[in-house]
Amino acid sequence: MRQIRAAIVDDEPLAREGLRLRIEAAGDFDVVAEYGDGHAATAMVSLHPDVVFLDVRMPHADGFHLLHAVGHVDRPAVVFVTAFAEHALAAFRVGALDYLMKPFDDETLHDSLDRVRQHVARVDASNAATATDGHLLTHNAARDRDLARSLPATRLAVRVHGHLHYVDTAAIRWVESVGDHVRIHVDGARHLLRRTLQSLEQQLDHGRFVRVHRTAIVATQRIRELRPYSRGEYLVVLDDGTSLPLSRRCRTRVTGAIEGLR
Amino acid sequence: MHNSREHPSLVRDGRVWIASVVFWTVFGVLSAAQIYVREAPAAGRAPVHSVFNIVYFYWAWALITPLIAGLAVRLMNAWPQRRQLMLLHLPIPAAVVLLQSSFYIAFATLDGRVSIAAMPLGIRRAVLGHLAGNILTYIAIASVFSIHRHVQRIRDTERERERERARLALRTSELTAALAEAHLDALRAQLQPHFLFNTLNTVAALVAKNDTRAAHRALARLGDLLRAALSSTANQLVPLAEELALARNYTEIAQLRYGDGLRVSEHVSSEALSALVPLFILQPLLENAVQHGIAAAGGAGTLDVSARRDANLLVIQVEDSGPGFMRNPTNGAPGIGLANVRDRLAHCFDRDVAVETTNRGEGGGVVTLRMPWKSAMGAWLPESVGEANSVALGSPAPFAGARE
Repeated sequence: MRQIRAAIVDDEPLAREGLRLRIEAAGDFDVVAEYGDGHAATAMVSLHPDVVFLDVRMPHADGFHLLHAVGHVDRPAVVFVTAFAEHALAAFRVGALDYLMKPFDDETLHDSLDRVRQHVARVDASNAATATDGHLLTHNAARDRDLARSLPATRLAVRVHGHLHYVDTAAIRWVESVGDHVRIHVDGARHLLRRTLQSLEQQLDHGRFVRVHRTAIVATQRIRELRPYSRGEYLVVLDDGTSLPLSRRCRTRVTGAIEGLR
Repeated sequence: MHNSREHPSLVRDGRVWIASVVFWTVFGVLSAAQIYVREAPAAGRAPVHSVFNIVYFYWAWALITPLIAGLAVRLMNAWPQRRQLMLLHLPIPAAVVLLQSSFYIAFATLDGRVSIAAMPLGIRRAVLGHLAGNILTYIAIASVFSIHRHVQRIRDTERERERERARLALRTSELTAALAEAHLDALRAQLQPHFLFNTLNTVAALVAKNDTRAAHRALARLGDLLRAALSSTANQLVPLAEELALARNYTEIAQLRYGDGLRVSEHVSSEALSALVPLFILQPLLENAVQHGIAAAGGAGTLDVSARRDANLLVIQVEDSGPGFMRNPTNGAPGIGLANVRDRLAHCFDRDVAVETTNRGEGGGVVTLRMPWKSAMGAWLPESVGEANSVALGSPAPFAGARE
C-alpha cells in the first residue's frame, strides 16, 4: 500500500505538531502540509492530499468555510479534529470521514486512520476502475439505486383499539424492535406491530430511514444531533430528544445517510 | 404528631356488621350447645326455645358490637388530646346494657316461641340478670377495638414518619443536585469547555513531543485554574492580585499553545492590586484577545493587562496586538463573551460599570472595564479615603503600597 498524504489545519502550532507526530508514527502517513487558518489552507488543493485533519474553530475562516471554499471536486477526505462536540452532525453532513474530539487516545486515532486507509483504497480502486470502464460502473450504481428505491411503503396498517388504521411513513420518527414486535414511534403516538424489524426495514424507503442499532431504525430527517461521547462512540439524538446509541456496525450507513441530508 | 391517615368509620363498614353477626352467632350456638348438653339429660326433653333464647341474647350483642367499636375508636382518636372523653366509658355501659336487653327482648318477642314477658320476672331478669356479664362483655369489646385502634395509630405514625424521612431524603438529594448544578454553571461561565479540552489536547501534544516538563507545567496551571473555578461561588469578589495570579495560569497555557511568539506583560498600580474584582473577570477578556488577536496573527503578538484607580473607579484594560475589533455594521455590540463580562460586573456592583472596546492607533484591540473602586481593605476604610490613610493606619495588607 502506498503512503497516504495528509494535511493538518489547526490554529495552534503545538496541536499541529502533536497530531503530526502521532499520525506519522503510524508509518504509512506523510504529513505534506500544515496550515494555521482556514484561508491559508485553501492552498492545499495544489498538493493533492488524500486526507485533511481539520480543526473547526479557527480565526478568519473555520473548517466548514474551508471545505466550502475548496469545493467538492478536489476535496481530500476530511477528518474533523475539534474540542467541540456540537459540530458532529454538520461535519457528517458535509461528508466528513470521521470526527475526533480533543483530546483523543491512540486507539481512537488509529480507528480513524483505518477509516482513512479504507477510504483511500476505495478511491484508488474506483479511480482505476473509472480509467478502464467508467461507463459500466456508473450504470451499475444507478441500477442499484433504482432497486433500493423500488417499492417503499408510504403507509403502514396498524391496529388501534381493534380498528385498522393507516400510519403515513412520513410521520414515523423511529422504530424499535421489542421481542418479536416492533414499536413505531410517530408524532404523539406509538403503535405496536407484530412483525420483525428486518421485514419492516425492507419495506421502508432506504433513502429516508436508516438503521442506527440492531434494534432501532430512525427517519434520517428526524436526526437533530449526532453526539460523540467517548472513544468514537455516538448517540443519535432525534427531534423529540430521543437518544439512541449508534452501533459501530451501523455508523458508516448513518453518516452516509446524513451526508445526503440538506 | 399529626395523623393524616383516614380510616373509615367502623359503624359504616358493612364488613364489621357481618363479622359481628357471624362471631356472635357462632358464640351463641356454642353457648347454647353447652347448656343443652349440660341440662338436656336432666330435663329429659329438648328445650329448643332455650337454644334460640341464647342465640337471641347474643344476636342482641351482634347489633351493638359495631356501635361500641365505632364509639371506642372515636374515643381513642380523641386520646391523648382530649383524654377526659375516656370517662364516657363509665356511663356508656348502662346504655349498652339497656339497648342489649331491648334487642334481646325484641328478638324473643318476634320469635313468639320464646316469651320473656311470660316468664317469671322475665323483663327484670332480661335486663338485670346478665348485668355483670354484660358489663364485662362491653369492657371486652371496647378494649379490643381501642387496642386495635391504638396499634393502628402507632403503625400509621410510623409509616408517616417513614414517608417523611423519604421526602426529606429526596429533597436533600434534589438540593444537592441543584447546588452541584449551580457550581457547574459557575465553572462553565468561568472556564470555557473548549479551553479545557484544548488545554488537555495541548498536554497530549506535549506528551507526543516527549516534552514532559512543559506537559507537567500545563497540567499544573490547568489544575490551579480548575481548583479556583471549582471552589468559587457566584459573583465572588477577590483582590485583583489574586485574579492576576489566576490570569497568569491562563496566559502561561496560552503561551504553550501558541508558542514563544506570544508575549505577555502587566502594568498594574500597586494600589490597584488590592481592589476587589469579580473572580475570573479577566479570563474571558484574555481568551478573546488570544483567540481573535493572537491566533489571528498566527500566534505571535503581545498581550498587556493594565489596571489603575481613576477617582472612585477601577479601570482595567486588556490590549492585544492583533487585528483589533471589527465593527460589525449590523451590530456594534462586542461578542457574547464581553456581554457576559458586563452582566457579571452589573451583578457584582449594580452601578458605574462599563465595558468598552476600542482599537489602538498602531493596530490591536483594547477592552476597557470600569467598575466602582472597592478595596480589599475597604471593610474599615471609607471608599473615598485614599492611600495615605491606609498607610497611616499601618495596614499590614501586602498590597497597600504607595501611590504610583
